Amino acid sequence: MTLSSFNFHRVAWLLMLAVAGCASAPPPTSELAAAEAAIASVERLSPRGHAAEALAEANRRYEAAQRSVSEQRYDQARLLAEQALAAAELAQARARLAAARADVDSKAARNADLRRAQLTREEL
Amino acid sequence: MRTTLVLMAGLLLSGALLAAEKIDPDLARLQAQLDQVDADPGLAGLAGLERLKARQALDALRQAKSRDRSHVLFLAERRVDAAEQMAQAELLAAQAVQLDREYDQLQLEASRREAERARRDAERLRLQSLAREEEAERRLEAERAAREQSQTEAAAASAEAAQARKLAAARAREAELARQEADLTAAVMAEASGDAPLPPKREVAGRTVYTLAGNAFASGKASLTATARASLRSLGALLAARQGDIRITGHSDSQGKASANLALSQQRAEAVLKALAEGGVATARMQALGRGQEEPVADNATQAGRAQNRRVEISVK
Repeated sequence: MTLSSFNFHRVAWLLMLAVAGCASAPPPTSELAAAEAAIASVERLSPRGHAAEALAEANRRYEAAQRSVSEQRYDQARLLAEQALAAAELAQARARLAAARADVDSKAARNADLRRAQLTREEL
Repeated sequence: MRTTLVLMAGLLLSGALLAAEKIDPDLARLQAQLDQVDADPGLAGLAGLERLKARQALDALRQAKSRDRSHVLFLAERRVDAAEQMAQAELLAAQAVQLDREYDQLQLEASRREAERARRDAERLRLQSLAREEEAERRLEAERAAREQSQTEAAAASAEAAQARKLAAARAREAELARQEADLTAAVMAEASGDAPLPPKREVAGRTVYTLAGNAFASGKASLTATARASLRSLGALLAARQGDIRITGHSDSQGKASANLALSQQRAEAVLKALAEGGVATARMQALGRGQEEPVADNATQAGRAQNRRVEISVK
């Protein structure tokens, strides 16, 4: 085995590794897109409290995923994108619950007001 | 060398098996949380998609290799939480729909009661005018009987008998005409009371104040327009059915002499009192007072302000 043939083998091995790496873990484009869409849809609800906390977590994971992509650590990026999506969907559920609770409260108060107004009119 | 490797592999494998058999506290906690949501009959059928995702995340956690564990646990925690929150959100959304339905129902019932009350008021007015009409007829009948008797006595002289009969016939015609007139008046009143709206009202210091605007009267006079009279008749019927004193106060704008304004406002207040009395309110309960231009409620410098100041207020306890 000559020096040149050793070098050739080594370069070929590295090339194979790179190709295999690319084939097994391409950049997680669809996962990132899903996380981004979920985050955007929660942001439209302008969440507060626990929902806002979950949204902040989703944003942190999403940014970390983007960093991993730029470092070409695609496996890591895919996991982070999945976490961002799960956190964003939790934020969505929390925001929906808070909005529904406020809606029920205001409607219950409105009905009580109407009932009171009708009672006083009956007494007149 | 080879035997050592096999031995080490065996040890690792049994360790892994032991770990798998051991109850995972995170898995147990999350499974319990999801089970609680599933067991709540109030949440049945809600957040189906979120529950499915949570179950899948728990399955993944059950099968996770230790390398993936923290990632899968992160997902499972959020999925279970989301399922719980979303089920409650959907339950509340259903309650909001129910509250909307209840609101519509309340409004519907209120308008039904309002219509029923208007119908009862109209019926009472009709009965009142009927009673008045019968009373008028009885009076006429009594007068006629009295006259007939005196005429019968006078008709001892046969020459006068025919004349007396003619007179009686004329009286009967007169009575018939009077009765027809009473019928007509009653019909007009019933019609007017049926749809004449009450004057606008507001609440002041525990009293209800109905305000008759300046255009309820002929310009510069104390005579009420037909519309205002009908409106006051409705109000009279309403007030007749209740207790409490009634204060009628006339006001004018600041145009012209103050003394003339005072006199006109007094006359207008009295005209309103009379109209309410016609509507059935006892005169003893009422008190009419003119205040002239002393209590404006709007700016006398503008046309609109003056129109607001020319008014009669009917204050009811």
